[in-house]
Amino acid sequence: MGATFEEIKKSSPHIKSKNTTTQIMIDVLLALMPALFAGLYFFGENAAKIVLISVVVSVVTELLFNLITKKPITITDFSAVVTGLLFALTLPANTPIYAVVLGAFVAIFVGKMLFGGIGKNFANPALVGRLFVVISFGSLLSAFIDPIDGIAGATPLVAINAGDLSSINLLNLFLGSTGGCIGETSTLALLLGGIYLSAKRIIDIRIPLIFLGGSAVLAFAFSGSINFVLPHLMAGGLMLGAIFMATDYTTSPISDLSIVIYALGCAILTMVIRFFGSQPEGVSYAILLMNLLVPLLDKYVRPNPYGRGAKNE
Amino acid sequence: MHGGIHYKSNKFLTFNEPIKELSGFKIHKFNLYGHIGSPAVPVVKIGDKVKMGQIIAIGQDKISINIYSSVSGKILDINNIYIIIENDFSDEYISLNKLENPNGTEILARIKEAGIIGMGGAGFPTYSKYETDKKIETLIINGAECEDYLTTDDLIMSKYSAEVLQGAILLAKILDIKNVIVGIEKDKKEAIKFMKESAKLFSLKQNIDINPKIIIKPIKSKYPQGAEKMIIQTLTGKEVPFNSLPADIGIIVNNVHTAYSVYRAVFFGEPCIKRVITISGRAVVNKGNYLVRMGSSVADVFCSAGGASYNSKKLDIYKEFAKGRLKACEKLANKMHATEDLKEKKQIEIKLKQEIKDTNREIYKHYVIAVDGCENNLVKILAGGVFMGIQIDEEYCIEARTSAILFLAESEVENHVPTACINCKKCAGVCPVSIQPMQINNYAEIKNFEECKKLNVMSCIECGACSYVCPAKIPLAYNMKMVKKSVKNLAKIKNNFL
Repeated sequence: MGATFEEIKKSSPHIKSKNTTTQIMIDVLLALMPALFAGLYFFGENAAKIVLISVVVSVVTELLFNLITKKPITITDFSAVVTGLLFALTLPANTPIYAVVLGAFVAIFVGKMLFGGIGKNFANPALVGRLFVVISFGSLLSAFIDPIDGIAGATPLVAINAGDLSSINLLNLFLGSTGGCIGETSTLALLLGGIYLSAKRIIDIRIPLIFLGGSAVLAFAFSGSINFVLPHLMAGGLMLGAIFMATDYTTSPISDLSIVIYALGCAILTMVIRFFGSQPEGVSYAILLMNLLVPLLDKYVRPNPYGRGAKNE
Repeated sequence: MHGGIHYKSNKFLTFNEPIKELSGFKIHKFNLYGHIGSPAVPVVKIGDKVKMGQIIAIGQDKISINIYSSVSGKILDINNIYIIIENDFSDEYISLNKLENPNGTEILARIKEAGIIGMGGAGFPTYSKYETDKKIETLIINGAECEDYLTTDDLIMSKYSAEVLQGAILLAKILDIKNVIVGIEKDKKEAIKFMKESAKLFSLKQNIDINPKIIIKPIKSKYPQGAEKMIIQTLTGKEVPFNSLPADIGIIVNNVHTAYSVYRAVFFGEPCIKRVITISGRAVVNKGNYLVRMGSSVADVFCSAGGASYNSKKLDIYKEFAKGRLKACEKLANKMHATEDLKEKKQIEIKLKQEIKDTNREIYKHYVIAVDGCENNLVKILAGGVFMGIQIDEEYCIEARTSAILFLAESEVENHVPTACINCKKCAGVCPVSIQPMQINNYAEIKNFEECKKLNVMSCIECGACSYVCPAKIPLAYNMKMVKKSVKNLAKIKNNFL
């Protein structure tokens, strides 16, 4: 704003909290570790390759963008690492490497840097990357490896959508020994990460709570049976999306009412796509669509400032 | 209150320290602009002899105050801003006459005469708040003291609880206010205890019909609970409408020290010449709560409070010592190179090696001694608290609105270079007036001040909570202040064209 650093040093307040952007990103990475380890445990070497390549491509893309545009280097705040890791966790373990590379590149380049870097993304960058991969290489992603017997087959979510609960083992869903994308299988690991982030006040816990709560209610309403609720919550990318993607700072709204609208919207869209859409999984689309709605929410649904109650001058 | 922040409190440094008196300073400087409103006008000339408690400047216009000398002595100099008095240390004192049973009008006149201003830090002339024709239902006595390091109000409430309540009753009498609520943050347990006891005694003694009802209400410890608008909201549930005064909704707020000073002014005839301040911060030795005279300089106060915790002279001495020892080694090395004789060269080489070993050990020993405590090196002096106080130097002189002088060390301040906003919205989450600093910041960067006004930047109370919590270390509070100035100028420009 035109103020020199000297002037800022003299201005109040003269103390600040110890929190920094880098610290927040490191905490998110820590929270993702359980999910990462679960993915590596269940899906082994393939998963490790995908995660590594995704993170490296993300960081390198951001670095090259910084250098070519002659702007300050921003990779030291670790946000590119977070995006790379999140993107990798949304992919199945047998995704071809070229798809991973292109997807990570699109996630950072289009989803983040083209719009101004951190804090200026219009949607969750990891989901932008995943959307690109799904649209471009969709057929390659439909075959998921079951971690137990190594045979390719349908994911639990596909079975649930077909109305077939017989192959569903709730414990397996919870621990993660089922088919699916690298980071989304272990509900337990994701919950651990979510609790860590909520305790550290890094994510707004209302978003995952309302998102998951709303999804549970709709799963019951649309299926007509309470047996479908837990499977729907634990299968697919709902846990990963609700805890780590929908809570992304830039693309979640400010006021209390907006947050409720946002999280409910995510829940409704997810369940509608799952039950009535042609795709088995609706989480990515739901979150992306609600991301796009956030600027509108922030403009029209604002809290009343102090002293401006009902009257307005 | 919406939002607000918790912080790790440093009040433990001074909250147990009893009030000590500091006086005996040679030069006192009285700021003619040390309050909100028009500056006071001097009524003395250079060379005049004045007594302690004698009036030296008179308030002019509707909102202004009288200024009294806090020492007896001679007027050294008068310039546009200050009256400078040289203390003769005789403490010859003249007071105003003591009022025994004053009515509301007499109390108001005495407050105006004595030059009492808001002693919580705002500096608003107290009498001005009472010159209203609105019906006032509630008098709030503000004992929140939400700023870090400050323990002034805490001590006043613990030690002078009866006097504070007496002062509150006097204030209530001016406008026949029926309810007095004293808001105290919950962490001040002693203060709450003493105030509750005194309030009970008063309610037993007084006539319920003519005297106000006094309630002591503990409130949650959160910054900025003690801001006028915030404490009104917490204690009464009402919000002061934008661009209005608390009086417009039937409320007046006064600080506890102000109430105490009112008591002194009415019953003892004492004008506003002394106040209790907190001297704290790790860079000063004797942290505590001190009764100081108005006009004392920060340099004098610093010395009286024991001076610096860390003596940076130690570092200079160390540097000299290290230089000297290294020079000795250098001399020996030169001697070695100059010698032709191989045997002598060998001998000097052995001596040199030993000398270097000894030198390194000695230098390190002295280094450890020199930097011991250097984290307490004075880097910043503040008048007020750490959230809303202003940075000052040793020349600054205590005014009636100075609630604390903080001598901050390196470990207590931090300077981070701002990085990019990540839109975490923490600033909006902690803002007590529910505005969105980062949105306002974005529009300010492209100089769209119309939009900033629409985003209610003028509601900002400049508490600094947003800057405190921002992980990108963006100076949001500073930016908000600048934006408010620009918006005010916008209005001026608009009016000029209409």
